[in-house]
Amino acid sequence: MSNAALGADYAQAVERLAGRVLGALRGTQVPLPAVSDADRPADTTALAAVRVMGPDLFAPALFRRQPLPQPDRDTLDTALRVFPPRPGDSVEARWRDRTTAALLARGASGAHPASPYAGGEPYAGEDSERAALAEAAGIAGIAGIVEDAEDTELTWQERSQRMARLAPLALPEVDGPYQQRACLHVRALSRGATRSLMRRDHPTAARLVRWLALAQSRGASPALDVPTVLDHLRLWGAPSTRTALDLAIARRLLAATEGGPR
Amino acid sequence: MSAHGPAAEEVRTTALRTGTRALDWLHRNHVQGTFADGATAELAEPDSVYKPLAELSLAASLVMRDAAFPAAQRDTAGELLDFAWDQLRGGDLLYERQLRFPAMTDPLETYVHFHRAGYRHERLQELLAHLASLTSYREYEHVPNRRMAVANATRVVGDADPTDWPARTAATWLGSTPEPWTMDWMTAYHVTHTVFHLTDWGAQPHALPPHLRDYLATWLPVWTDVWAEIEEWDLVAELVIVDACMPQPAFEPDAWRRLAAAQHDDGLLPRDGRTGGDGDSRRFEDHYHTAVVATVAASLVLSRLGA
Repeated sequence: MSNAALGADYAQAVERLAGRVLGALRGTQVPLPAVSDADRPADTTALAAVRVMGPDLFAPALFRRQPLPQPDRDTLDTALRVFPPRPGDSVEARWRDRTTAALLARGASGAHPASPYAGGEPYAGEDSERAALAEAAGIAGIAGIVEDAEDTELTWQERSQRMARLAPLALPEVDGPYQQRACLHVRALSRGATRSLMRRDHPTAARLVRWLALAQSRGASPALDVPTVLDHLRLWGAPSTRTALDLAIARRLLAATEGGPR
Repeated sequence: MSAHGPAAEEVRTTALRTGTRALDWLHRNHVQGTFADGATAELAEPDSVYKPLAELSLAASLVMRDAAFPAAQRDTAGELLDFAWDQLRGGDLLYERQLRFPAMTDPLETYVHFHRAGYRHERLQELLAHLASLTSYREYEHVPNRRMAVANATRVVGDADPTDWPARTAATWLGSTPEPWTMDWMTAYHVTHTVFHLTDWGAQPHALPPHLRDYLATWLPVWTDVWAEIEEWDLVAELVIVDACMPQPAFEPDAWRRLAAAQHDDGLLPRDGRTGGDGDSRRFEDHYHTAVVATVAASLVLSRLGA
């Protein structure tokens, strides 16, 4: 199979998975349905999609404070083992996998209460999550996960670019340095979202607006009216399911802020 | 080094070089903007020579006012003003046009640049003082930022200006601080001109109300970045002027770097990335405006940096 065909297969797998997460997020099924291709554990394309979606698979569970269905836990676990962290991974990939591992480590009991402004390390004080992180690092054969460089000097464009790639980390009940940076740098992210909207790069705009919704849900004040932007993206945005998922998560984050249904 | 830091030093150097080359290019090519013999106040095609003359005069008058360019460039500006004033027959053409069309505001909007630089036409001045006293003259249905152009020209030529500036400002797109991502190319020009007239081209930065300063400080970098990416150089230069009109300009070097890189060896600054090639037979007609705004941008930036 050619690289192009493999790429198309992978893109389809991501879209299919995003659609299932979106369905679970919007649905009313209790307990939550499994969303991953648990019946196809040897399908590496599907597993790659699972790894890339990573924390997004937890979105329905986190919003409803329910445990992640066991089949999804198993698939995520497999995905992290088949595609373990590697030293050459980007900062964004490291933090995505790290967050996935930490969420898996919360166990079947479900979500923790949010602790949005806890210390600089994600999930500090959570022994089981630390153990999971260590295990994730062990899988890769590297001693610990390399921290990203101090990013206080990033321009608003650079920060927006990085945060757009890290959008799967914008979830309720999840805290760490990037969630805190989203709150600290709402102006930079508002600028990035505006730039993306003007360039009609709606997928990037949706990812940044997801961060802005998270920041607003945690008391920060974006320079944009986030509900209006969400509405605009809903009407003008790209048809990708993954973008639709970003928008749906952003809406849920805002609804939680306003005390509405989660 | 100034109190503004190393980035501002880079801006100062680049603005001086780019602005000088733009002004020199205007000077070398200005005769292309000459009226045909017998031009009358009717001006069947006011955008062909009349409007470029007015804009040339604007740039030159601000170079004189700001006195931030070296003496050689100020002399160049003086020569351009003399040329344009001569083309307007020492202001007679403006006077005749205002007599012929009392409802038109462009004679005032053109005369103001010469008045700023010390030129006078007494009969026109008397006419304008009378018109400024008329409610009608202030309320002609221009777009809101054009009304501000008329009000600013009125106050610069020294006539009583009863304009309710906060209300005038509030009537513009910028005045209501709209969703910044809805900005389009034409609206961007409306925003720049609102700021130009409200602050009298940077002479009164504090005339910009605090809420508009905050709004512009947040969004100007985005708009500048977006239009620089698609090489809309004329608009980028206008946005740089807006920054220089602010009480605390950002003096971002990136826009200046890009403008300098786009400037041709002969000093021509193309209005956008799609035009301005050597085979372009409309080089002056198409690109004089960008030279004008680049000159103004440099003059204001050098002035604000305390050159």
